Amino acid sequence: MLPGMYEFHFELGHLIFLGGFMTIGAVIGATLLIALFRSTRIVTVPGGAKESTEGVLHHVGHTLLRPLAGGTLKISLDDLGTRLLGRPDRMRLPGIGQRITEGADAVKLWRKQAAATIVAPVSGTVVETGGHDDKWYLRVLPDATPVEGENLMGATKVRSWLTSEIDKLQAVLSSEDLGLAMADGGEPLPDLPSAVPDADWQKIYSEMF
Amino acid sequence: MIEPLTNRAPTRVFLTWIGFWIALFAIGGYFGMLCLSQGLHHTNMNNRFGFGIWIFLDLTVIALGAGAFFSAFLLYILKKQALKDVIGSAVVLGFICYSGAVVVLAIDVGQPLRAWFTFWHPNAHSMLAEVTFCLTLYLLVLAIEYVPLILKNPSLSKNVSLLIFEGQLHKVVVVFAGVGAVLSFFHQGSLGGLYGVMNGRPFAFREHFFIWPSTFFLFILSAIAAGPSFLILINKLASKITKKQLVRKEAYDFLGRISGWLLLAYVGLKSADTIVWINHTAPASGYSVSEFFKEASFGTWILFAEIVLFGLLPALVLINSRLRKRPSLMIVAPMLVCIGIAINRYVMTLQSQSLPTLPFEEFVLYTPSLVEIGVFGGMISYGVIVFSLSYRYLPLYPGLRQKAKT
Repeated sequence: MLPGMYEFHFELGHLIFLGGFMTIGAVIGATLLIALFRSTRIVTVPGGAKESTEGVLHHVGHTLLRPLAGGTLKISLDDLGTRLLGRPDRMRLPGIGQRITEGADAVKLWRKQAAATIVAPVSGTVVETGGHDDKWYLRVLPDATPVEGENLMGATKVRSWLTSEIDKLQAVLSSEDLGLAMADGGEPLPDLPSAVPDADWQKIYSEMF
Repeated sequence: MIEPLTNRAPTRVFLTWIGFWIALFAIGGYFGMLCLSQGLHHTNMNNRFGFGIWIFLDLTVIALGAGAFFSAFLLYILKKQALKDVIGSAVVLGFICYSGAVVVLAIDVGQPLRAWFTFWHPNAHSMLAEVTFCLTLYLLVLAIEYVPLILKNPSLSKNVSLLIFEGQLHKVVVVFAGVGAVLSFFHQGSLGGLYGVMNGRPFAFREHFFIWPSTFFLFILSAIAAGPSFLILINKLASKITKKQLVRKEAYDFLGRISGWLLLAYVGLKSADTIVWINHTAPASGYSVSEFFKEASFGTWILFAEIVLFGLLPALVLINSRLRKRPSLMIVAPMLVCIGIAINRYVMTLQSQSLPTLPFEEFVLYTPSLVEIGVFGGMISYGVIVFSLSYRYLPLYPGLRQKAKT
């Protein structure tokens, strides 16, 4: 196994064979240790997770709360929020173990020099972070369940709220010197900043998020 | 107190189900202890048969368990999202197959207190050294992949430290998927290589490419072909028993397609290998292949069954998108694939030892003892117990959770 033992020979085959397995063992051990080390950077959460909340909830900050088994929630942008940002150029997420508070700034996303500040739709502790490609940004253990609040909506209320939000977007875009940016009754493009690059996106993000 | 998930069977029903398997497992455990404490004279293994049905079982479950590494590779590295529905069950099945194989191997080898010798004093020229290292390391990887699933139990996930650890493990799972693919790849190959290098056994010996005999590659290919079929079979069986649709049809379709094409490639290479073996390898060692198949119990029918009936036939079904849509064929074809792989491992393990290699030897058919069958049954029941507990307490199927919500 190791130099000095009678089975060990300084031959290329031996070195490749045993070295390969030792490297794999080291990779497994190191990866596990990294996961453990990162896990130790936590803060305690009062209350802990309760039973799963049924259904997806919409927050007025254009975020979605998706309940997972074990009482955690995945936070993502809603459809309009995703279209407003397209693919963010960079992002700043809270660290794992960090607490977020409902209504307070939680995530910052940059697109074409403009920054969108996403507020936390729920109070809780971040247990995992994702990204645009994951289609979610935070996984949170909420402080209390069932999750409820004035700024959260179930599927029934979303339609009328979303209509008013699209009206708001239309108004913001129309106030720009852009000509006709959105047709009445139309659907926003999947990546609005690319479609309307000259708009004041900082202003739009401030209005919409 | 660990709680079951909300939409699972009542406790009484579950205990009745699991009770039977625990009884079978206890019998297997008793027989296993007999062998460990008193020796292998409880088995029918002898100087002629160094490998009995336990090795056949090990090779078969390890081939079938290849669905774990292959699914993880396809999902986490090649980003085949269709496999999200089955990855949980694939990891559990892989863990069951590998851990079961290790336990049975430990009983077979004996002397568990000296198990560390194989790591500390490895014979680097033996295929078994590669088998040992790959098996152990990959079992470790599977255990690590299993941990996040366990931590998703609602009772355990109340602990925020465990929850964060689960999230962190999830983040690095791609590393384990990659490492697992390398390990399992070489493990399957070295198991095949084990037979292909036995030049004292002309039935098993095969031509070499560089340092590897053809069986090295055939075992890898057959395992990655059978693994997805085994996943289909077990998940369909679990759906039948629980009366729930656990996996979406798209996932089954993807698994079936990939299993079919890989199996077709395997059948092609296996046929080519057999032709070379018949015309060159066996005659070069002084044997005519007809001598290998002259006994009725291992006649040419077994070769036909392995390549055509349980190889080509299910492959043709699984590569056909119209046939894959027929639910009955999506059970029968994967079942044929799994039986075919079992026949291949049986033939390589036992036919190669049954055939005489010296002029004064007779053909001997191996029959396992009751103890061997008991341990065999114990391993199967271990698998059923672990899978049942995992299904009851862990969110193995993300699709099922979504269905419960709607």
